Amino acid sequence: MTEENSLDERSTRASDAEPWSADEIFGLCSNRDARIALVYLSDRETATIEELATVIAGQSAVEKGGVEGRERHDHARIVLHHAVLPRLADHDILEYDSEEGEVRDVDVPDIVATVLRIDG
Amino acid sequence: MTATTFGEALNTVERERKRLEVYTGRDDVASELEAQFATKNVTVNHRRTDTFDDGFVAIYGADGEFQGALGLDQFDAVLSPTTHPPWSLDSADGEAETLFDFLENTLFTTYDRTQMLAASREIEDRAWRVADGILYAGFQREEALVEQLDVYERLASRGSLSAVVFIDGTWSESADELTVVSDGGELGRFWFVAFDGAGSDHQKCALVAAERQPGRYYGFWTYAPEFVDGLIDSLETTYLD
Repeated sequence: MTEENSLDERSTRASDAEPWSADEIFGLCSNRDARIALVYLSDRETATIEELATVIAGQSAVEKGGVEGRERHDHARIVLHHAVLPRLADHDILEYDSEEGEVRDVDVPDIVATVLRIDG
Repeated sequence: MTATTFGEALNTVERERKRLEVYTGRDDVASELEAQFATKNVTVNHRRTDTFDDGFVAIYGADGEFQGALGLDQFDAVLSPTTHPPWSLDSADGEAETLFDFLENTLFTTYDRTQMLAASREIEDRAWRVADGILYAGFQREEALVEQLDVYERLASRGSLSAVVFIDGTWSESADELTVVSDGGELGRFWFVAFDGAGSDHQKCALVAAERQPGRYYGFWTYAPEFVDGLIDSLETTYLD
């Protein structure tokens, strides 16, 4: 039942939603950690905050050609918990269960995915 | 501080099972790492993702905590180090140290002699830079020491650094600066290098590996000061007192 309600709620929100404005899209993609999280989430429906913090640390390591340690991971986790995930939830891109640290019902809009691809 | 024999040290590290998460869209890369770590105390999980051009790995400790992440290319370099003498490293090579730190206390298996030499160089290089304290190295056989004699004589004459080397059996050659200890016990089975840090905990490090098959090594390296102290204490009490 919960799942059905959740699906109904999402479709209603989606149909009522205003078209994405350029400001909204660029606002979402302006933060590096948010971009990495969105890219990773673009091909899956669920993830954990732990996993997303690891992905952000991992991509930072690839970019700098070295090791990223706990500090980068901890920082990413804080940014995800307090800023990125609540904001993406506000935009109905996902549901964030902050108590369980779980991200569900991920649906990255095509327009955002396109902007992320341009960003490379 | 408790004296720790090489066999005990290896058992301790074996109990600390780590987890490696591999983020890549390439199944063959993930399978290769799974095979490579199958005999070590590392569980490998593949997190399949096609969203990034370059994959990476993340290591989690025995406590389940994230320890570090690095790109697959760099990880490859750590797993297959190349040999370089300690004095040829330039200052920009601090990266090598960071990469070795990443796998601290992680068991490696089937390192061949070249890879063991490269891993040993990391510790020898640290002793060379500090130019003080004592560097301990076990060569198992006399021939192995003869091969590295020039390197170790040079290390032993660097500033205030001393070098004590161990072999199983008798030492028939001569050495100028080096102290050579020939004995039995664990010496024939283990390749080890340990640096006491010249009194600084930040500089202490050790590498211990058992030769399980001829030319194939199984072991670990560590920068944990108490662990290094325990290994050196065991060497001192067993072979030098």
